[in-house]
Amino acid sequence: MNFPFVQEEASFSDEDCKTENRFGINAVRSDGKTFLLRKRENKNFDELRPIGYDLANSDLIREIEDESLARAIQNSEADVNTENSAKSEVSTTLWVDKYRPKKFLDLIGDERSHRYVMRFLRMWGTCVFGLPAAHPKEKKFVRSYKDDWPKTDDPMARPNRRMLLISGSPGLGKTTLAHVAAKQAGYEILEVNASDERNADTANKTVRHALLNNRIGRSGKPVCAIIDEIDGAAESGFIKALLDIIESDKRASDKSGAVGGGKKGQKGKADNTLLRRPIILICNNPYANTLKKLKPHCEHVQYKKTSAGYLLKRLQYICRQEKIKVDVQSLLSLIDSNEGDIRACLNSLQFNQERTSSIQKDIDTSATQIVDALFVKGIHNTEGTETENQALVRRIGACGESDKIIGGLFAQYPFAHYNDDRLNKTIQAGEWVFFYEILNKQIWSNMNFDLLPYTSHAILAWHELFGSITNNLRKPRQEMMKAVAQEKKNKDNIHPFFKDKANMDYNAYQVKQTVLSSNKLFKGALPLRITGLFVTENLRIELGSMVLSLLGCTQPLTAEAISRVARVLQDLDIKVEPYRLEMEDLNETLPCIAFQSTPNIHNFQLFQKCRLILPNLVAIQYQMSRSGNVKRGSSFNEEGVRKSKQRKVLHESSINIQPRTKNMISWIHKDDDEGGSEFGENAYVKANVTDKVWIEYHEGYSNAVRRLISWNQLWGSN
Amino acid sequence: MLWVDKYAPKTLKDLDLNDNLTDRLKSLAYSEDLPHLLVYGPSGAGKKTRVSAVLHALYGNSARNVKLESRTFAATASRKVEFTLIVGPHHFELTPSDLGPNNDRIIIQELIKELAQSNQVTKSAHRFRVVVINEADTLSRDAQAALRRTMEKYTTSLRLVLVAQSTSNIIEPIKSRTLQIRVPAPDYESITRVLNRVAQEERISPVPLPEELLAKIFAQSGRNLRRALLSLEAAVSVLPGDQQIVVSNSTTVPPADWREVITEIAQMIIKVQSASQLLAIRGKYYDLIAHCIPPRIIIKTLLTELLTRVSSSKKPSIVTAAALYDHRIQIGNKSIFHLEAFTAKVMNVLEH
Repeated sequence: MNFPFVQEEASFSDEDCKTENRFGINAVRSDGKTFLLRKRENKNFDELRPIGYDLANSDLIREIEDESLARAIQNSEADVNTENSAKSEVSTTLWVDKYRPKKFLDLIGDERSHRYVMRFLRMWGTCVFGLPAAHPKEKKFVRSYKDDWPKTDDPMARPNRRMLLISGSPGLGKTTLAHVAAKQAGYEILEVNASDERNADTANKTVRHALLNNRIGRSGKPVCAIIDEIDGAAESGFIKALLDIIESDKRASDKSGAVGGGKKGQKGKADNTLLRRPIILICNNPYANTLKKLKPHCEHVQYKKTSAGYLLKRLQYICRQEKIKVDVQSLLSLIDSNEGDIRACLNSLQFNQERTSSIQKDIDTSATQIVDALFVKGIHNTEGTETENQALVRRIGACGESDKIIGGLFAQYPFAHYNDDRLNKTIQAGEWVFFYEILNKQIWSNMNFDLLPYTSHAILAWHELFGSITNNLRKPRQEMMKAVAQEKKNKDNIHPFFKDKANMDYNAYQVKQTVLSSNKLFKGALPLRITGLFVTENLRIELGSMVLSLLGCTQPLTAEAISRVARVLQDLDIKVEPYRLEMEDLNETLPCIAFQSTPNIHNFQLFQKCRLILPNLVAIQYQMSRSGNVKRGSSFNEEGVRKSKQRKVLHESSINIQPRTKNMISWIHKDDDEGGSEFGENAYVKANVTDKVWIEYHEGYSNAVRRLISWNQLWGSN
Repeated sequence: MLWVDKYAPKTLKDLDLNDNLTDRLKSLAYSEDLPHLLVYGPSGAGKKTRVSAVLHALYGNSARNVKLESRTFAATASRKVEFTLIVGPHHFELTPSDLGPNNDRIIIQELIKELAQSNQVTKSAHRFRVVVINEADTLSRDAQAALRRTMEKYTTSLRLVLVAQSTSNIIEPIKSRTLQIRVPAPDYESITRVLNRVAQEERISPVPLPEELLAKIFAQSGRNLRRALLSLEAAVSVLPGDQQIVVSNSTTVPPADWREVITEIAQMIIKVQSASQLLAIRGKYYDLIAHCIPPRIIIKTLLTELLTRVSSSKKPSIVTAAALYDHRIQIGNKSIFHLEAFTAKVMNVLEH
């Protein structure tokens, strides 16, 4: 039987035929009779039209379908007419453009985002097209999606946040989504992207006029502004202009809201005009500084990666259309290597097409994969006459992250299988690292980029040294993880760097940053006369050590010694503040007060040494002197503070301490051997404090949890 | 006040170490003119103290009225650099590490020009002002080159005092334009003398301090007077006694925490030489580095710790290795690699 097959050019699934009445296709036979082709049960139906697509019953979707059907018919006619001419076109158009989705249903990718964008535009429909308010309340299946709608209290049912921000990595189809959705919703698109000049002037001239003045485009459709790449070259004036638009709209909305009408066409003053057209912003990095001010006014959609499955289908379709044969594996690896970037996939597909019928597998170039591979001998895929080493060099070069690879090798080599005689290999590896460093120095500080290829060889040397056929991929890494797990089992209180051996370098770096910042604070507090004495490195190794040895003192201290120590600390201007922390004690969480110093002395401590707890040395005195006006937290009133304070008096012998040196001290010191949490149960009072000591105890923020606690509970017993 | 601050000599007259040097400084400071100075010597020898004493001799007590000033310079049209420096009525004091990397040239040029082109407005004995540059050996080559010309051009209104640990990183043209003054590290007698004087003032008894205590402090200080004073203060602060603090031979001098860790590392190296030991030591190295203990100090301290523990036949090769890896640490930036390689090398030597 011969009948014209109703097919649309841009519909990518053969089964996805459009319907008039949702049950089948009206087809016309060559003899002029029409009949209904019943639609087959379609397994993929759900994928194509997601369950609970909550616009399904709306007018909008009907419009979409009508339009698409009309277009499909039109296209099918066009296809027949231009069949010959179309073929020659293939070579000149980018596939990216050729197969760019033209309709909402063609879009592939993060469907939740698609729907969200559509909903956003639909909400504007009330304002722009005078459609009934779309905010869902009544539809039963919509309920689960209620939160997915942008919120609105606007009389015109515009979303509360007037703009839509779509963010996501490049090539996922954000721009396409915005265009398609806006077109589908019946707008004419006004695109402003990084190639346009974007200053306050342009913004005012184009965007502002377009949006605030009820403009109708050339096609007779209302305008929707799509501002692409906003995190890129947008000048600050441009952002400002956008903010102005929002601000003026806010003022106008408040006004119209107060009047109660919110009618269309109601005009405010020149500087408070209602925003009547939707704005869509697109960016790669939603955390860019330029966007900081705009973000509060935006509904934010984070566009996610398209799943490989969908992408594969689309690529297969395209390959079929273009009559090239690519096996599924290659396509999958292509998708993988491009990390879901559809544009990149299509480009490489198109331009690889001439070279090979099957795409070269060139993917496993991530630094970790290379590190894994370097420990293994004899399994490497080589191309042509390439030797194993050459293949590895190629891969290292392709990766480009040599620093990361070297770091990974260094972290993992102790866990690999290799034979060594008296650590000679480690020594040699050290030589290679030095060679690598010299190369790097030449390359980056003397701009000797010719040397760049040699860095790969410095890395390859590790393969020679530590690679072995008895290693398999991932083995060193797994061994390393095992060692970490073992370490965790052995000790509760493990060295923080060892928690994650793979990132030891990074952890150390992070610790160093905090230490450096404390150092700076510490130095800043010193009297100017002596800051010059302590250059950065001396500060830690001389002054830092002294402070720590003072605080780490295990001898029983007398009152004078205490005041002397306190004086030293005061000289160094170390401030002490209490803070509350939850102490794990015998399966019971007790609130407890610890003292934190600024600069934080904990930061100076080596992890290996016993952890000392900052004694509440100056702390108590410091607090005492301030207790008259202590305000902890701003959320509760002064009375609450007073009530929640419980004072405890400790009687012991009495020595008069002069007012100036009235530093009541007790040491809390914890032995590392005994383990436990940092401010653990083994904390005990170290000092023979020989005076009345006032301890302030802040029991929580609420009066409801007030209770009496004993000294032992507070500090733990010895 | 910290003792290092309290008992620091304020004037040239008070300086009590290196009398020869003090005489020279006196004759320089009290003469009409002063050359550019390059004061160098190990840490804790008294370079800074001498410089401030010279400043005092030049300008009197007003040299001590210093304040911290933070300034901004436009490094390029778009980039502004903020930095802090110490400003006195007649002198400036700056530290390259406070200026940030790659900025030192611009800042020094700007600052010195600014200073040189304006004349002294306050009344003072000298026409020139002084710029003190601490850690001058960490100045970049560019910055040092920038100094060359200005040093000659603005001699009427400007004197430079460079303070450095060694002259090896200072370019020749600068060395030739300055009077080089070496401040040697104090020896045992000098340190003891200072410690005893401080002990007397602080009512510590007995004075002179017990031999063994002094020996302990001296051993830890590494001929660094500042460190010695700090350890004395740390040791004494925790002792009882109100009017009089009594020390004895058994008084403990709290060891520096990082030094203890390095001692541990040395012991580990001596005890077992294996790859797993190497891994255990790596954690300790990371710990030290993360806490801003400079890798070069680690390797140096480790070397001294090792040398006390190995047989004399192995010492030369260990010292050679230390020199090699110290150099590498300075050239490269992956100090942890070189520390580990050094450890492996030492283990290798020990196994022979």
